[in-house]
Amino acid sequence: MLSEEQIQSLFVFCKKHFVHHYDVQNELVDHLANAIEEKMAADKKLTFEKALEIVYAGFGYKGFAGIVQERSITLKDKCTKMQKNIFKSYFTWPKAIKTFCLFLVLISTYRFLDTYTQAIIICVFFMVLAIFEVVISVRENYFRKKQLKRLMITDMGTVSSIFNVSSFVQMFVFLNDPIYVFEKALNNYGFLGYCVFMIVLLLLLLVVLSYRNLINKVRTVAKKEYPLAFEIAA
Amino acid sequence: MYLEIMYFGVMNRSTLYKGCLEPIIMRLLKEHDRMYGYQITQMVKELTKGELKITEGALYPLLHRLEEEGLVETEVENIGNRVRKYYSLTKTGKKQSSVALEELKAFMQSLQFIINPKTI
Repeated sequence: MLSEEQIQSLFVFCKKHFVHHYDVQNELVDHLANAIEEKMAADKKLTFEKALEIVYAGFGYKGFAGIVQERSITLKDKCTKMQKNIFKSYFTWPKAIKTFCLFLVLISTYRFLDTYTQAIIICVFFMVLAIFEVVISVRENYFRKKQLKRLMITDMGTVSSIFNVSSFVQMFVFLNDPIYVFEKALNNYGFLGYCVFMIVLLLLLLVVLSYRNLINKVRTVAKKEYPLAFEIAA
Repeated sequence: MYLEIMYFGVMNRSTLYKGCLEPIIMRLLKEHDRMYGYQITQMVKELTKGELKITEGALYPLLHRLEEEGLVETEVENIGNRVRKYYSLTKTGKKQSSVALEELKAFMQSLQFIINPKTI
């Protein structure tokens, strides 16, 4: 069995070879340690450093790079799939009822408001959603920085949103006067136009909510699997 | 055409085995409740008497892909002074492992037809 010092030197070795995430390092360290232990048991004269050199050579000319790259792609896909599933769940029983009720509440405001107020509300709603998404992202970045160790799963969870709401809202900057544009659209299409706006807003709200749920889910899984990465931060 | 000939010229055994890796790993995971990466490489080496060596560069990306596809699940355990990640088949993975093995057998049979056309 390798000593604590030798295990720590394997973590340093991984970092030196561009494996910066603790969850990936862990798996590689265990693999290296197993292989080194076996080599050293077979040849008593073999030093730890020499054994490490031999084992690392077995990873081929790419070293750890291929594993890290594949892992990041797989985790990004996994997080995207998770968010898509959360998003889809808003349209399946029983959450679909809540979604439908929310939609009814949104469109019911049509009869109480004039088109100018409707346009303002739509604009504000878009901005609030963009801010909400940015706040979630900033909050997550803050928690990630507080982590003792960097984890690839939490890194990927933050960057793998299925749709960037804030970038979408930023497009309104290019409109000369968004309130005027929305008001004109509402005047032209009436209730139908209002419904379309509300559907878009509702979908964006669900995207932001699914992003928040994804981040919470990823964090819970990470905390369960790698408590050491969160010990003091928690 | 020339490139193809060149490719087959330099193709080694490990390239041939690459496509068979998935059913092999799934079969091993089906036979054993849970396994860790290094254990899989050693088990394959042992079973094939050293003929087939799974490289780490091929094994881990495959295990991670299977995990992403929901065929394999993981659990982490503290082993003395380090952490070990165990892989095991999910319910879907168990069903899929039989399919993957059948596909491999069918492929081997097709190869047999090409190598020994008289048997057709």
